[in-house]
Amino acid sequence: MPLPTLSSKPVERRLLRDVVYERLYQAIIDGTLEPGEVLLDDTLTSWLGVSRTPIREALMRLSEIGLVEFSPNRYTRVAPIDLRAIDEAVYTTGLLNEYAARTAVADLTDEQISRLREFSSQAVKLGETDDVPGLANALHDFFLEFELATHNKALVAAIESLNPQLLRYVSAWQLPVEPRVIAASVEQIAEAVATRDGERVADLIRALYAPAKALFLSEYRRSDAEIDSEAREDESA
Amino acid sequence: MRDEVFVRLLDAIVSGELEPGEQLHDAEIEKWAGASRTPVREALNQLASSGLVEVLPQSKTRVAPIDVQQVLSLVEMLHALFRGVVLDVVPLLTPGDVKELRAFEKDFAKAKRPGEFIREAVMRGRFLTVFVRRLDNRTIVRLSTRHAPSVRRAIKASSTQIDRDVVTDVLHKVVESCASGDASGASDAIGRYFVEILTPFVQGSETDKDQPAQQEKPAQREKAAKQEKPAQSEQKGQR
Repeated sequence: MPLPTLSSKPVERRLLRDVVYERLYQAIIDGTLEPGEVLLDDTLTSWLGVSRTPIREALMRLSEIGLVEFSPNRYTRVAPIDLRAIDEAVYTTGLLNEYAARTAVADLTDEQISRLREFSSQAVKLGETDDVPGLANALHDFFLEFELATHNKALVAAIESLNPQLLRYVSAWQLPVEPRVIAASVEQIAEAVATRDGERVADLIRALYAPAKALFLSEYRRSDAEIDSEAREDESA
Repeated sequence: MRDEVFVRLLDAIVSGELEPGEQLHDAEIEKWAGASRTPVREALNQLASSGLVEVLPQSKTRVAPIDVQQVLSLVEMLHALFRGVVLDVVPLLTPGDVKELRAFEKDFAKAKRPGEFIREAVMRGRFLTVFVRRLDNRTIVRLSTRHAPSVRRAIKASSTQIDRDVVTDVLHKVVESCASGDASGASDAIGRYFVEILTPFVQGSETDKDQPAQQEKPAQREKAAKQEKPAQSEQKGQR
């Protein structure tokens, strides 16, 4: 059947944009495109077999989630490994998870609670075998249940925008805590969820992420003097 | 170039100069921004990914209508973030920060139009900035900067009046809790800033302006309307 060409073209273009985004995203996460690698339009157009426009669009979206950087000297590169950015993403994820749990736990359905149990027992298994990437995924699935239960799309989107930082550099994670200890806290959280005690769940989540915050404060946060001098520069700019 | 075009379009959309639903024609924007096609398209796509414009089939683009539900969910996400930020940052606040918060509280007390004051504060990013800046978590800075334009646009377009007493009380609680190092008190008060002040503003940004904001009782609205009028200064001017 001949399709009306006029209206089909833009749809194709939109799909193409998403396909290009997905491929670049995967390539960065799995390391095909290495941290710090310069991304040349020509190389990418011939690699993906598409024109410059969908590639530029995809790169822009990737820069919004911190996977790609545009430098002022006009080159584009895969964002290098940035331990501070990873720690910040973990810390920030913790704040959002805590809120989502506090808000949603009281009204969770039995189904949601049993899914949480499933994810937590997966986490325990992965923790025992020191499978950090697997554990990171299980943790993501576990906490996403709370975000989904708030029915707040912006909250879900925010969490998903932080996740690539968490997944991509899983090997670079400087875990101040053993995987099995993390898994044990997740199990404890799942038990508290079963009693639908939102406050207790939120407190446990806060405790789980406390090491990320402590690491941020001791290693990455700048001095007050540096923060203030940057603020003054911004004001005068 | 893309950044320049992006910023100019962003400002025009947030301020309402380009109205919600308004059609954007590439050629006109190129002329208006003095830029060529590629940077204009890139800027529009960037705006589309933050939900401020809609790129429709056949190269049509329009300023996205204000989606109140969507902005409300953004406000709740920011609320979640700031509850945590404030809880963690109170022990880190410097005397200068507390001074800045106090100055904000004082300026509000002097403001003739409380609604206009808060609107301006949101547009210029006063008040909440103090907390994110001191915490120095750039990921949080980026997350809140990215979503600020949508929230600002809705609040700018809002016709909601505001109860001076509520704002006075909330600001006072925030400032005093920060000054005394009461982190959980400050975090609760910031929660009220989002729920009792910003949320009603966004609810009042419904494009249908005949509908008054639903959550306001008539008595409150009258009171607020009275407060919004700069009656005193006008009378003084006449004498």
